[in-house]
Amino acid sequence: MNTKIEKSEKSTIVSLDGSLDTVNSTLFMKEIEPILTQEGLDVVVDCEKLTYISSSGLRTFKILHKSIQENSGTMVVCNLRPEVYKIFELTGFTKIMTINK
Amino acid sequence: MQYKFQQCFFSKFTEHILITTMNHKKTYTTRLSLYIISLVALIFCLTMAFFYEFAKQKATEQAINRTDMMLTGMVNNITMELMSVETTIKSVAWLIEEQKLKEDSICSILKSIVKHNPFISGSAIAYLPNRSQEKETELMFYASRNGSAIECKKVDNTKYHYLSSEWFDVPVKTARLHWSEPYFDDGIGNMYMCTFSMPILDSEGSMFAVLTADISLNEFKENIQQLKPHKECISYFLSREKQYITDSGLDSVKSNMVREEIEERQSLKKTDKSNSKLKKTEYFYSEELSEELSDEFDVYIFHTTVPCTDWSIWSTYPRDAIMDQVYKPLYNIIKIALLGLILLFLVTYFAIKRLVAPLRQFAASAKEIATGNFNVSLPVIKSQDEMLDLRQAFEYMQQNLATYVEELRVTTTQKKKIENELSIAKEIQQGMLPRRIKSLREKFQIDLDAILKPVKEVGGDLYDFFMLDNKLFFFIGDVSGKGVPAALFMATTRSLLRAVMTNDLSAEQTIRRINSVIDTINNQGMFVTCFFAILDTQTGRMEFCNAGHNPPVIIPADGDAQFLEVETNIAVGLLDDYDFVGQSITITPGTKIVLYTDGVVEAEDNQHKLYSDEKLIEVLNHNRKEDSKSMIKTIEQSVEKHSNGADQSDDLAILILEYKPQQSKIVIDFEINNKLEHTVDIERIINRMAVELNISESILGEIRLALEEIVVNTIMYGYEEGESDTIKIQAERDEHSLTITIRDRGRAFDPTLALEPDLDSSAIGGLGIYLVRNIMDGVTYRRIEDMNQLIMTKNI
Repeated sequence: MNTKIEKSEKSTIVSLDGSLDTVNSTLFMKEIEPILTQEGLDVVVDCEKLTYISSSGLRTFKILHKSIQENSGTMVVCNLRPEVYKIFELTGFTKIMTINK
Repeated sequence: MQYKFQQCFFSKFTEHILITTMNHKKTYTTRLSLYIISLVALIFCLTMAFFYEFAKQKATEQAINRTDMMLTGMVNNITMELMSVETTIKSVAWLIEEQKLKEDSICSILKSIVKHNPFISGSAIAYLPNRSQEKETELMFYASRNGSAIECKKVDNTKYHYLSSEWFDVPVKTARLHWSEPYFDDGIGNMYMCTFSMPILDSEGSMFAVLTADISLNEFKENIQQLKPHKECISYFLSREKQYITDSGLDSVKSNMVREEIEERQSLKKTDKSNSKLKKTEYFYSEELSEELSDEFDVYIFHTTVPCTDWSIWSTYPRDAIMDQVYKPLYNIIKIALLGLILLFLVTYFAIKRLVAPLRQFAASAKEIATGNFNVSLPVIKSQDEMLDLRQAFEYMQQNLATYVEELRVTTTQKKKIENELSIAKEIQQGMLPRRIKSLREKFQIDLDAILKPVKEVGGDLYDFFMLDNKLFFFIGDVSGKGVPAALFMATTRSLLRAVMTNDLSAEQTIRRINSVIDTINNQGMFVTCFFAILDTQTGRMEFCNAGHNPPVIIPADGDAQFLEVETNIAVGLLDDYDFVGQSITITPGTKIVLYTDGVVEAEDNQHKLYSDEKLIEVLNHNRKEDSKSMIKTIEQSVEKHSNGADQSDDLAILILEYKPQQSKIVIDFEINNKLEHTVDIERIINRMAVELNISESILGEIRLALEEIVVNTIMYGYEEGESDTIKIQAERDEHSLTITIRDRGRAFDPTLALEPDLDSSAIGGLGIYLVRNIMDGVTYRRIEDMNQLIMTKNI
């Protein structure tokens, strides 16, 4: 799975491409580590190309979300595919983070 | 000895030089020549060594003998001389005693003593004190040579006193004959001399004078100096009292050393007074002396004694002098031998080379022949020896090679042709097999599959099936034997089957007909075991007739596999009018029939253990849910595994059909290692499931998630550190649902008991299980012995 992090003036866009299974989640965690410590970031997670997510993937999302919030930033998840959105909905993640369909 | 070996090495060295200067490869010729030369050189060296030792010994012996003889001669001569002196004096003394000679006649006697005895240089009479006529204290008459004349005179008393001289004193005191020690006689003799004294007695027997004879030692010296066995020899004379009498030609230093050595030796020896015989010459080899004198001065020292006067004669004989005689001829021999060896080498070398020349040519010819040119010419051999034999053998080989190569070419071509034909035959036989009939499944609801595996290209096993009206006719057969003959017979049988087959015949009638026809064409005594059945696809009624064949296995939809109870009858082709007995049963939908030949149950492993009927049943039971195609594959793999590399021993055929399969169930199996990194395999598994189990895209993602969550949980929580396990996943799809069974050997864990996770908390532990329970329609857990078994189902 490929992760792309683009920084612009307004926001940081994290794009995911592929499936976020248990093995990939660990790699994904490493990729987003720099974002976890930065202050006041506005992060947009673009899941247009995210085809699959498991519970490990959900966990990384949760950690990302929490870190950003603690550093006074914001996180928005967008462009979720229906099958992935379903998982987010099922697990109640739609309630704890901002999802833009 | 050292020297001689040096010579030997030198000769070998020379040869070596020769070789290297010739500067070519160590050919056979060179090697052989060298061997011969080496052997000759070796023999020569050994001989020389022996000769040297022998010569040395002989030369030494000879030198010793010569010296011995010379010394003995010398001693004899000297003794003779001395004895003659003694005799003269003795006889004159007697005369004087008898004749009571007057003093005037004394001189003439003395003169005659000297005159008639060349050894005696002087003679004297010396009176004891007061015993002369005039009663003088000293009176002495002395006769001696003076040039050619002999003089006799009275000795002047005033100048010369003799009373204390040894030659007088000792005989007077001992009253016996006496040889004096050498001394220099001042006054009278004026030379270095030795005196023999004899007391003279008067008529009363009392001594009144001493009669003497002098011997000049100068003469001695001259004599001795001439008597030498070798010019390097030196002789020493020592008197009784170890006075040095004479020696010959040695410088004073050396002579002193020699003398000291000799004196030491002499003092160690006992004096032997018992005999007057000549002592045998003794000799010894004095190493100490040699060391002191010089390296070259190895000496033999000889010793003998003169009995009369007790003088010792010592002679030295340098070893080198002895060895000289040995060395000279030795060197010459070696020189000659060396030349001889070189000559020998050259001669042998060229002779062998010439003899061996044809071998080179043979080698060249052989190379030619090897390239395929059989007509190459061979060297001409004129001699009647082994070379000629070789040539004849070569010729013979040449001729035969050509023939053999041609034969081989022909045989190879023929073989290729046969192989070609066999592969065509294989294609024909395979072509004879009926294809899978498509409508069989859709129209008649029969799932049928079969394989044929002959041992060689073609074999004696065959199956056949065809539809007629609504009836499925199927057949499996096994001809005795293998290969082309069996295949031909099988083809005949099969053709017959199809030919005699009509709709109204029963199974056993069909078999009977085939049997009788086969009998008419069967002159090789072949036979076929077979099973033939007619299945009415509408009613499920199956008529069958078994002719000596392995009973098929029947697997009911909801029961275990078992062998069909068959009437064995006999094989087709054995008895012309055998009364075959047929049977019939009715089968229910979902029943499977498995036909096979003994290539399955009699497949052997390397220990000749058979696959066996029981194993077949076991495998079929285990995989009863598989469709026909998969089941055949399973059996095939099972047989292969059993054989474990051993060659297929018999033709193999399997035919499986399922009557009205109720559910199209497809099962596939996977395995994953219990390591997190292997969870990437899950994606691959899902893809396979999609293809083989025909699962739609929409559900795939969910299935994947459910599977991943269970597997990850198992891996993460089910094992101790380092524990290794294979997680087995089975996916089964029937018409309405997909069932996934996950089995592992981790610790017991029932995910169905997990609590609903608290989504708001940061702990995400039970999230996976929650997802699974929500995605799948049914989740059941069972612990079977040491295994966890989780079955998830989803309706599709």
